[in-house]
Amino acid sequence: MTGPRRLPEGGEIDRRQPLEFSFDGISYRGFAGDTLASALLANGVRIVGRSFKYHRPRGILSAGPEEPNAILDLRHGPRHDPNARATMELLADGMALRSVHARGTAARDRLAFLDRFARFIPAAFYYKTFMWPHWRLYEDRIRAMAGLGQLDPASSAHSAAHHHHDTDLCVIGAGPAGLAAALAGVRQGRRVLLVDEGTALGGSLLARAAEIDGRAGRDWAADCQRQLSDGGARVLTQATAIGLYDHLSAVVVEKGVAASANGERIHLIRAKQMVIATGAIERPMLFANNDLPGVMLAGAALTYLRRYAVRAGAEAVIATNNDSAYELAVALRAAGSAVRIIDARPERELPAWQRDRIRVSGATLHAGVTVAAALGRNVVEGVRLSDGTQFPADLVAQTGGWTPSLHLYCHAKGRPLWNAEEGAFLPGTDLPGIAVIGAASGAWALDRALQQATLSVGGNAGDASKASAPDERWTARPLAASQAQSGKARIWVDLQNDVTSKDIALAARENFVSVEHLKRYTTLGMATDQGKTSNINGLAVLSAETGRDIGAIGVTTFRPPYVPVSMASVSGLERGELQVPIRRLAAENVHRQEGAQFRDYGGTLRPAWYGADRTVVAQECLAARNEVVVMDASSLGKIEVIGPAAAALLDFVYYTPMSGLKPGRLRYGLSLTETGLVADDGVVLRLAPENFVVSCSSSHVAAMVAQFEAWRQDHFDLDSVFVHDATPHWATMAISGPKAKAVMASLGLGIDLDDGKLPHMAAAAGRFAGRPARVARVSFTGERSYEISVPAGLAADLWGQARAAGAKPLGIEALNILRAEKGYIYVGQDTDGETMPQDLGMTGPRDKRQEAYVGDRSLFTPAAQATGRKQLVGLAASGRDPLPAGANAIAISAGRKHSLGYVTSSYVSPVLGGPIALALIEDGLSRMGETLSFEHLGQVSEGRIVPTCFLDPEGARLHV
Amino acid sequence: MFDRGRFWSPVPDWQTAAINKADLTVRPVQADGEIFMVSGNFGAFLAGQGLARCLGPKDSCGDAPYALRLAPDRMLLIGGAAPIDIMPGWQDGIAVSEVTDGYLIIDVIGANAGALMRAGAAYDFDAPAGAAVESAVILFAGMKVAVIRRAGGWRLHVERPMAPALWHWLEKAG
Repeated sequence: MTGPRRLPEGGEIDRRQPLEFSFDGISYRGFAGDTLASALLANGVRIVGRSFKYHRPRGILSAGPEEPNAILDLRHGPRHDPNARATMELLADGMALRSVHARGTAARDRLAFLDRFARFIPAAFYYKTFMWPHWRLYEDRIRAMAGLGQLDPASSAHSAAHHHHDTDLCVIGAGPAGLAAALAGVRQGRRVLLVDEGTALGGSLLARAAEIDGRAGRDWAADCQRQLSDGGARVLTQATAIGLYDHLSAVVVEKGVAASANGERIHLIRAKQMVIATGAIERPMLFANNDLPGVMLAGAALTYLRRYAVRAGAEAVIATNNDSAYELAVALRAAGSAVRIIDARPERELPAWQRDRIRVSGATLHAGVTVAAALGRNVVEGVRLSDGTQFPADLVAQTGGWTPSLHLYCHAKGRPLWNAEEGAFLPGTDLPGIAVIGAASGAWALDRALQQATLSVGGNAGDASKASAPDERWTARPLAASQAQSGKARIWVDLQNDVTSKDIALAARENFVSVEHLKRYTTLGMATDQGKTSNINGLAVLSAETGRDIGAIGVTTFRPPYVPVSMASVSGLERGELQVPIRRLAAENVHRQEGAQFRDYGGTLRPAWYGADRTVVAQECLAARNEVVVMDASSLGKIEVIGPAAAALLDFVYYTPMSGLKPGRLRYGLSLTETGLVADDGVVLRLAPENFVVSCSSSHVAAMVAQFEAWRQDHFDLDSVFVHDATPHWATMAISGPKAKAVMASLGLGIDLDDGKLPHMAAAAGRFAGRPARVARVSFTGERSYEISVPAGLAADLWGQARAAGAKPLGIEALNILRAEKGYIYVGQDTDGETMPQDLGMTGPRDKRQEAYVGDRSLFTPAAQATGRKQLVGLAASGRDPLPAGANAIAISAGRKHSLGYVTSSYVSPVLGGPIALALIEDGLSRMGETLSFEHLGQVSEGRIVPTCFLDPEGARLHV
Repeated sequence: MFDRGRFWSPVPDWQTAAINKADLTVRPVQADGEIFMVSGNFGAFLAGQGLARCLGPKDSCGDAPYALRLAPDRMLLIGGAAPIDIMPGWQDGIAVSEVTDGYLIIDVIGANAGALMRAGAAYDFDAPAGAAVESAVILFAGMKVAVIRRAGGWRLHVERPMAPALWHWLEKAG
């Protein structure tokens, strides 16, 4: 036996597997099968944390996800969870646990003195105090003293891939009702998925006595599990459904996943039918000092006793207003505890068999009275009743009724309705495809729940299991706290956010009487437990304060997640390289061997330069202008447009008409949006009368394919033209420079390189390594250039041969400079969300074309034709330093500055020996020679407006 | 400037890459023949190749040739060792593009292959096939992948530039 509160036998724990763990630096022992909470309780640890605002000592309240107090910092191997719920985590050997929010330890918190100032920091104090001279002076300190848990930036535990499930029937909750529904589904031959947050199936049957089909409830549950397995049902345990979404989909977080470094995995479920069998959550009672460690829910005390062999108290007081706690009384007596039952109902209302049971057990019954106060300084030491009687106690096990767990039902837009008789919100509206059964629907009696479960999935009532159980009443109206009886002592409603009944009364006095306002003003229900144990009691207090019925007050909106979920689990595998996967070049490994440094350009990983640092970029530029370079341009689009209507489709999508192209010729053109803005530029090659290849920008391939496909489907005979994205098949190497032709000749492509046969903007078909090759004379550097496209598997070979022939490698950063020297644009960098083709000086198609094309009418709107439009120009900087990209050209009128436009691209040209820039400037084309001031981050520079082409405006270098 | 090449894992050698785990084998498949993207009214063309129809994610492929449905009027024709009598361009009412080097084919085989597939896609692999053939292209591991069953598991067809990312995912999820 380990721990002063562990019974020598019993429970589901495996006593053959002792486990070591620590809490707040002290070593303890537990067993396999323990939760953190049961292990702490077994070891007599009563204070497990400090409250959010007042640093009051707090103990374990519950045995489930509704736990508001036992939130721990957990470390185990690589795993770190700064707010692990002790009631939901299985103990593992070597776990290091710490209380959160205490300065020091939970037992000795140096900030405990804050509770003495509670009267100065009630609910919503921050709206009234700590304001002068400015609230920001206090914010950091208040935040530092509040909060639960601290993130560890060094923690690296990842999570596992999400799992997807499609199923006919998804049952959430494996208590008796859920098991019955799942079993009925399996018997119908349906695909069934059963999900339960516990470690074993059975729900309440695991702790409470019951008889189903003539067997003990636990045995019936075990048999159900066997039948489900035999029937092919999938079962997830330690799995909490955190949200219900559209189209009958659910998200479940599974714990205890060995394959996952953080122990969790998310499951995404799609079902044809969803059954919610999530049971009900026990409700605390309201009395003074009801937050003392040692005050816990009666059902939890029974669970710890039966499932974990932990006796939570030797001198137990059970505070109740319904029958559900009586089993605990008998069980604790059998375990050797002294037991007093404090039942708020008059004795005449108690069933005779219950009174007899208590008498036989040796417990003492006090009927018609309530607990008015828990007594003790840091832990429960006694109670005082409403009649003034006092006696010692080390455990107050309370049950104020049961609240159906309707969170998932509400996620699916179900509307709960208050049932005054039951003292609970019950499902009000039916939801298509979703059934709420068992205690979650208010079907408290076991037999009724089993029947309901079978019928909910279309089974026959006669096939339902039969339960025989005592006639107990579990429901009760929530009792409003009696402030008069508690005097100055506080009655706690929301334990996690430190909200008392006085805070709710304060909110009512200040007219925050809507439930939504009550929530935000007091923070009732806003903590990580989402008010699972406090919402109804809070409504009861507000009801007493305002005289309105709870049903009229209503509930706030439940939103996912039902329990906190770590971001690592949400991301699953989508982190690091897998968060935003990038496209890779076929020859990438060759570039790595050549010493390339890489960057993401438009969604493809491409060489920025080849060398240790950026200084090599200038050398690459000079090599391109004076010798010959090779650049991997494989990411450029190769969209094939094929069919009798291919030319017409291109003419429709492009601003620049393409139908006049002869086979073997290329043309540069712009494509526009429907609002006339420049969307992309590219080069179109006509291979054959009915076959075109569109070489669009690397980053726009998917968008251009979508654009073509959309207009094809919308505007053309579907049998007359087709669009194929062949970009991945082709690798393209661009050979550029005065010596390019010599390199081309050495590659043996089998084409005639004579300029008469292959002029600029022409293409030819050849072969490389026995496979088709396409050669296009097109240039983005302004030098004589050839783009050779070969099947991607030959990319490395082609690169290697070009290098062997003397071509030097060219990276993107050098290309940026070379193209800017020629005034060639990057769409999206040198154009913005207002740029139309006329702003780039390209007015021909607008002025001449008669037929319709995308964006045509937008080019003739008043705004499109107005003066003052930003136009693309070149800039010559006055000094030696480049103008900052993004710098605004500033004009001053009437004493106020305004922007005339901005620098879009800016570089130091090693070829020209100084800075060059491109810019979008208002009426730029009319300002040639004008000098403007450019401001950026407080610095002012000057630049003179010049033509966009800084080098070889006649284009002679294309033919060198 | 930080070299982003250090962030991304190197591209695997597809000739030798393999993932071997308990009850799971993942390996690239070296294509026997050419791959073509074909659009149009290609029923007669398929018949000429000895293929009854295009295949979707619930169909099984044997040895190539086989055709994957990409869209109502588009397919990916995976050729076998025997050359296919087809030329890129427009012919007889169909549009043809060669895309042989544009795809990497990956086989996922073994008892745990199903779990890996369910980790990668929300697609219901277990539901019976409907009357119409679906597109073989699904979102798998967040990427467009053409999927088909094969003996012992599944066959994935991914555009080659995204193949390293898919492989990395398979290594992590497998």
